[in-house]
This record gives sequence, C-alpha cells and structure tokens, in this order.
Amino acid sequence: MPPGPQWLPTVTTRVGAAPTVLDMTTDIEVRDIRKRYGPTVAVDGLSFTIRSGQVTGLVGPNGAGKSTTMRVILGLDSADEGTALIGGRPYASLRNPIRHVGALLDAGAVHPGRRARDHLLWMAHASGIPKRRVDEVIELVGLSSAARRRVGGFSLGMRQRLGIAGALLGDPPALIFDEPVNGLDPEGIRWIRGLLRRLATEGRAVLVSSHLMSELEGSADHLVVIGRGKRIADTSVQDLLTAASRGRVAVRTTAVSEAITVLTQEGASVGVVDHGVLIVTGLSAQRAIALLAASELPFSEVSGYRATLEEAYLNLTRDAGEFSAASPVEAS
Amino acid sequence: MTTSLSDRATAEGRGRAGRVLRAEWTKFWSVPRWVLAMLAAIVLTFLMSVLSASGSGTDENSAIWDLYVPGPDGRPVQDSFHFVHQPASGDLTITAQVASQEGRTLDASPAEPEAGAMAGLVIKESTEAGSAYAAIVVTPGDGVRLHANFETVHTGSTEAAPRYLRLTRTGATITGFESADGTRWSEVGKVDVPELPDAVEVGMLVGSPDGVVVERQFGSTAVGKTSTISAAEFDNVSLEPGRTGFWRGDDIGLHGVGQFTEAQGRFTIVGSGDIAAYSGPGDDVVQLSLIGFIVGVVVVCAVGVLYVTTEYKHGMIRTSFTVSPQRGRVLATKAIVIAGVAFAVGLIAALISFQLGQPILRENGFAPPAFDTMSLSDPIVWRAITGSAILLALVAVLSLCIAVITRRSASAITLVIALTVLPLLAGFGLPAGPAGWLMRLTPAGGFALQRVVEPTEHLVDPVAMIAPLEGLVVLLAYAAGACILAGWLLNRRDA
Repeated sequence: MPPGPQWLPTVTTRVGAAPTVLDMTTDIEVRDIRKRYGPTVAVDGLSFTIRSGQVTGLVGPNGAGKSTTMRVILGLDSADEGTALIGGRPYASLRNPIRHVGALLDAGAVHPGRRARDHLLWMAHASGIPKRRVDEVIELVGLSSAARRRVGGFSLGMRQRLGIAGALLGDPPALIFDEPVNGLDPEGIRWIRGLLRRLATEGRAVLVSSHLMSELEGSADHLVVIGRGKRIADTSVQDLLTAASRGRVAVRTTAVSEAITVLTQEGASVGVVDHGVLIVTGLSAQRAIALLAASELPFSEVSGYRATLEEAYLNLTRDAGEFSAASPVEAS
Repeated sequence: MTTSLSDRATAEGRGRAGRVLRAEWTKFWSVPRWVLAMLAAIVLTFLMSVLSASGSGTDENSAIWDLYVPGPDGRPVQDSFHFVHQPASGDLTITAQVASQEGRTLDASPAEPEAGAMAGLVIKESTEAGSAYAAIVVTPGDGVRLHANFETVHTGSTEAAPRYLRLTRTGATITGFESADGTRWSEVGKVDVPELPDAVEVGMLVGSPDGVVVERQFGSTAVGKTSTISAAEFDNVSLEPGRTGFWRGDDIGLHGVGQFTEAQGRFTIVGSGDIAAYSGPGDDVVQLSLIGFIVGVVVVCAVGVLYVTTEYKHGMIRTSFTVSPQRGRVLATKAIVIAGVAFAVGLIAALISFQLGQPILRENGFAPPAFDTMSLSDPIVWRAITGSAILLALVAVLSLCIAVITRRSASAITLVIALTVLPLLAGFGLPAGPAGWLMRLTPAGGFALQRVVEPTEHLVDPVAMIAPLEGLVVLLAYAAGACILAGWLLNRRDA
C-alpha cells in the first residue's frame, strides 16, 4: 500500500452523480422533539430546520442530545413527542430513503470482516443504486486503493471516509454527519471541510454535529446550539460572529501598559490577547485612535475586532448558564 | 385508476423486497467467516456421520433366525400359533364360530387376553412355519382381520368374540366372511394367494403375540419379550366339501405350549405366538447415516445468530434500518437468506452423509434381511434428506429470530442449543413417555424429520419416539413464534 497522501481525494468535481445542480430541495424539519431513556431526558422539546444550500452545525457538549436527535430524524429511535420530517415526510415513509437523506452516524458501524466495497454494495443493492455509483463514491472519498480490503484493518480515519461514502451513495439532497471529523488527521479535516462546503454549494441540506465549535469554523453557515436536550441558539454564523464582535476594537501597539491606562481612563475595558494586541470594549475605533493620538502613543493598527467562533460559543453558553464543568449529561 | 395505482404499489413493494433480499444476500456472502462456517458445517456433519456409522454395529442379522423363519418371499417372519387342522384339496369353505376368547397365565389360570390375541380360521400351504397362508381372525382389541402371507389385507368389523368366521377358497382366491349369528354374512374381503398348492392344510388357529418389556436406563434400552398364551372356544365347525379326516393339533413355529380338546363339536384351543412379518428393532438405517447433523445444527445456529448479533455489536443495524426502514421486511429477508443457505448446506451434507454412511452401516451389520437396503432411488430416503435440510433451515431461522430478541451472541446461542440439542441428551435419560413428550414439545423433535421408520419406544434415542410430522410441527411452531416475537420487538424497540 502506498503511503499517506493517497487518502486525499483528488476529485474536485461535483459530489453528486448528476452533472446538474440539484433541482429538488429537501429541508429537514425538527418540531418539538422530546425523547427520554428511562429517567434521563435526552431531548427536551427541540425544534429547528435544516435548510438546503447550507451547512448547519449541531453543536453541544457530549450528551447534549445531538446523536439522539439524529437518530430520531432517521427513524431509528421513536420520539416520545414531536415530529421530524424530511421534505415534509417522516423518514420511514421515504421510498429508498438513502436517496433522500445520507447519514453517517458511527464510523465503526461496519462488519470488520467485510470488504469496504461490499459494505457499500449491499447498501446500493437495497436502494436500487447501480454498482458504478459505488465505485464513484469510493473514489470520491479517496478509498480506491483500499476498496477491496477488509474494514477490520482500517484506521478510524479510513472508516470515517467509508461512512461518508455510504452517506453520499444515494446522491441525496440532504446529509447528516455525526461528528465526522473524529479520528481524521489535519489533512482529512481540511478535506471534509471542503466536502461539506461543496455539498452545500450544490444545494444540499447538510447537518453536521460536533462537540467542538472550532471544528465547524469555516464550514458551517448556520448553527443550532443545544445543551441538555434544549436549544440554546439557532442562528447564522454571520449573526453570531457579528454579535460577539460588536463594539470591540483591536489595537496593535508597542506601548501596551500606557495604552491600557489611557483607554481605561475613558471607561473602556481592555484585554490583552496577544503580544502587543489589545481588545477594547466600550469605545469606537475613531475614539480609540483619537485618545492614543492625543497621548502620543504609537500604534500600528486599530480595527474592528473579529471574534472567533469558539469565543462566540463561549459567550453564548456562558449566557445560557449551561455548561458548568460539573454537569455533563451522560453520553447517548 | 385506483386499481392501477395499487397494482403499481404492489409491484414496487415486491421490487423493493427483492432489492432488500439481494442486499441481505450480499451481506451474507461478503463475510468470509460465515461462508467458511457454512462449508465447515457440511464437512463436520458428514465427517461426524461417517464416524458415527463406523462406530455402530448390530448383531440383529445373526440373531434373527433364532426367532424368525423365512417367509414365502424369503424375508424373515414370525409364524407361530397352535393349528388344529386336517388336509384338504381344491375349492373349499370352512366355517366356525369363535365362541369365546380369554388369556392364560403361564401357569394356565385365566387372564385378560392380549389385545392382539388371535382366534380364527386358516388355509395354509403346510404345517411348515413360514409357508403361504390366508387366515381370518378375530381379536379382542383389533376386531376382525383377513390376512395372508404375513400382511393384513382387509380389516372387518371391530367386534370381538363371539363371532362367526368363514373362509372360502376358489382357485387361488380366498374370500373371508364374518357374521354375528351364522346366517347373515358380510364379506370382509378377497385375497389371492397363488403360492397355495391344490392340497392344503385347513383348520383353526389360536395365537397370542409376545408381550414386550422395555427397560430404559441412561444411554441404553433393553427390549425383552415374554410369551403370552390365549385360549379360544370354537363351535359350529364345518368344512365343505365333507370332512375327510380327523382334526390334528400342531404347534407351528417355535412355541410349544399349544393344545386342544374337543367335546361334542366344541373345540377348546390353547395357543401362543404371532403371525407377522419381521419388524426390526426400530433402528433406522437412514437416520443412522445422518447422525452428524447434531454438529451441523450447532454450527448453523452460531452463524444464524452472528448474522444478526454482529450488526448489533458494531451498530450496523442502524445502517441497515436507515437503508431499509421497514424492519419487518429486513427480518423476513434475513430469514429467507439464512434459511436458504442452511437448506442448501443440509441438502449437501445429508446427501454426502447418506452416500458415505450406507455402505459402512451395511458392513457393520445393518444389512438385509433385518434391515432394508436404502438407496437414493427410494422416495422415502429423499424425504429424510429433504427433512434434514428443512431441519437446518428452521434451526437457522429460529437462531436468527432469537438473536434479534436477545441481541447478544452468547445468550442466543445458549438458548438455541438448550432448545434443540439439550432435550436430545435429556431424552436419553428419561423414561419413554416423558422422553417422547420432550420431543413433541421442544424443537429438538425436529430431528425426527430424518427418520423413515415408524416411531418406536424400543430405542434409546428419544427422537425415534415421534413421527417426522410431529417433529416438523414443533420445530415450525418454535421458529414461527420466534419470528413473530422478533418482528414485534424490532418495531417496538429503538434500533
């Protein structure tokens, strides 16, 4: 087997089988889902919509109810209350469902004795998908040279790719990935981000779960943040970042302590994020420039601050008062 | 419009069921371990069968002529009774009333007669045991029967003595009649006995079949026979055309307790023994060459269970149900796939086992005349071979469904083995009655599908006590019950 880079897909064309842009849109709609396992409430009245043409991140700590929600959407677990509809229909009523929704739930969910290609083959048989498409998705995820090897010898990363191939098999307008980045190396993570973007660009509805907001940085358009089975936020990434950045100014200066003194005297709160970079809250950029200039302090840059997604997430969860370290709900 | 829509829906449903079937078949063959295990099931089954055949043996053929004599066709028969006779020739009619029938203990005091104790009339080639004959008899338990050359030909009324009986010979044809009063007669039947010469011995017979005592111990049975005696009174004896000689009493065959007395046309005849074709000890040479299926069942059970539990173990069941949300359909197609594979395995294993085992068994004493030579040209052999395949197929389905119920390999395999193999072992140690019921109530009874001989309690093997159909019914009931429960749970539980 040739080493490393061969796992990187070289295909840059469209993910789907057909050359045209999808003409069908399939939203995934979750309405007031409630699900309890014994005494544990896993999902507690959750509602959101996954729109076509977007990557929606489902974010929350382990045990927040992400996987349960996905299983309910896929008709695997039945909700105690509420509905999950795919293009307006419950999953179980879909004809050849994997041509409507592709899903990767658990990369390990393959019999280790089976060859990778055979695993996709049975899924194709069950859904009336031609063998040609099996080879296509294998190539798409970069598993061509491992297609005839038994899955038992695969790394977690390779299994993730196989799982993604299974999700893409039916060329579905909606896709669900549960923690797809798990076990992937940096190259793989970059690849999957590109894939998610491409799928959304093609007009598909994409739902990606993660317990780390940073994993979604640069790939998600929209976020549904949940904690303990409840929705904390349902917002576009743009709005979230704007809100988190609002009223903050980044100042780059060589006279850090003097600058802090001057700025705080005017009522701003100031934090140091990096050597020579201050984050100022409570002052506009123009006012900060005026103050620094008046005190004859040197500065090389004063700009509107762009918060990271992680920061925005921490703000959110702090506001929601949710995730104190002592209260993780058990993983589902 | 509605019709065409629903027609199309049905056709699509069938198409999708076909696709799921193809998918499940792909799932099966793509795991080499399962395919190898099924091939191993074939090999282990016939190796075990051959091993068992090599280790078996019987002295039935050497012992057979101590108790039996060659019948008209050379096959062993039991032919012993007390015969009160005289010679006659040509066409004739003999009539008598069996006035009463009773049993006798060995010290000659009266007792209940055996159900099969015979009193009646006989036309026989000679007094030689095993010679050709035709007879009409009345028995306390089985009513009136006309038999010839060691086979029952016609059954008459179910009346016991007193009963008038008549035999008429016209050439080779013998006709039997019975009557309650000696005036109104009804025909029991006709039989051709071409072996009978012109000059025959004709007269009255009394016999009483041996009582059978079966002693079961763990792992063995001892079958003992005890002589029984019966006595019958005959009157209104007539022989047409006219009596030419004196009545003479002879014990036919191997017994020696018979006697008769005559007073004013009233005969009291005491006799013992039976007139019957040899019935073997119940050993079934077809089943004996298929013993290895006990191993085959275990292997097939394991594969049937793993076919489901590995999906649960790896979480692949969720992939299966996202691909095919109709869970009942997934269960049904899985059952069809595993049953089909197991059926093929059973068929091949049974054919090889039979073909290899039969010559070995013949060499080890399971040969004519005590045992029939069995070959693939006998339809009943095919019944046992197909039955073996059905046995494996149903065990596979049972295993599959129990695996769906428990979702764990160890518990499912344990349960199936406990249901299908353990009762066999337990049955060896139980008395005949409970052992038979154990076979009728557990899927282990399915092994009876491999038998071609009538059920018997004379063998230690509990499977021998029930008929193939009974075994099929109980196994089918368990498999169907497990399927229904599994299907219900699948739809009820989260995947």
